[in-house]
Amino acid sequence: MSIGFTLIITLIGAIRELLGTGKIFGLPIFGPSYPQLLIMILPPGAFLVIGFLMALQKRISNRRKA
Amino acid sequence: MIANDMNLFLIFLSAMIVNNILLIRFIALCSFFGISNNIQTSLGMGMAVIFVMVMASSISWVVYHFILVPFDLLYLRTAAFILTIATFVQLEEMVIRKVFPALYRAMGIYLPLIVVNCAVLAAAFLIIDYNLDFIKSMVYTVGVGAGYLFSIVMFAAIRDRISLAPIPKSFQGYPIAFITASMMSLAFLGFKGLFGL
Repeated sequence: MSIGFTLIITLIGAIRELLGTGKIFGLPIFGPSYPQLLIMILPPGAFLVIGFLMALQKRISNRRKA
Repeated sequence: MIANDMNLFLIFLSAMIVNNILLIRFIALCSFFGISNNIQTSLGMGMAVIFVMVMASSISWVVYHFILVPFDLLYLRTAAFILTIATFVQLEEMVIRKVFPALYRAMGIYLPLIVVNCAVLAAAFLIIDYNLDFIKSMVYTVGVGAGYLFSIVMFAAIRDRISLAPIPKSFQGYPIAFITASMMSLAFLGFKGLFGL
């Protein structure tokens, strides 16, 4: 359970950092011309990423059931 | 930042809207998502949180300034505050069970969970961190509680409408709730910097 927590929180952090600043663990990925999505760094971004991850998880488990 | 020389209304406004505990500070989200499927229950929960918060932080303010500081026991403050909050939640649970049995059944597990509700502990710690005097701490605490009540009731109302809306299957339930919370948080972010708070 705690390992799952660590994985998810790292994933959320990575997504927010990647979309928000174009970097991952401080390394630039998209180059300097990337338009920074400020909303991902701000509080609403966290909710948004969690919501989409939950929807993804739900979709995968729905498909597995079908 | 909150300081001791601000007037009471600004402190209240900052606690309730500008630094809303749920949507800007991300504290106490478990009950925010867990209980907000019904407006009546979330109203009850908000009232319960305000009551516990005011009681617990007034006692913990007194404990901090008249027991922990004079006797140099600052390292005990987490334990002391948690003990205070736990006592009050127990008390409140007994009162609600006796006076509002329907609310008691509706709230279920979330009522004892106020003990570990981070909002209550956060309010107790924040008034110490901001170094507020007693009246201002109480105003601040009521503001935090009112912010909690305001956003949880609003969120419950929105979720009520969402339950009737056509949304994709994978988004039904919690995912859309999180995205709604994100939009609400964005709206509250619009108040950032209001009056320099």
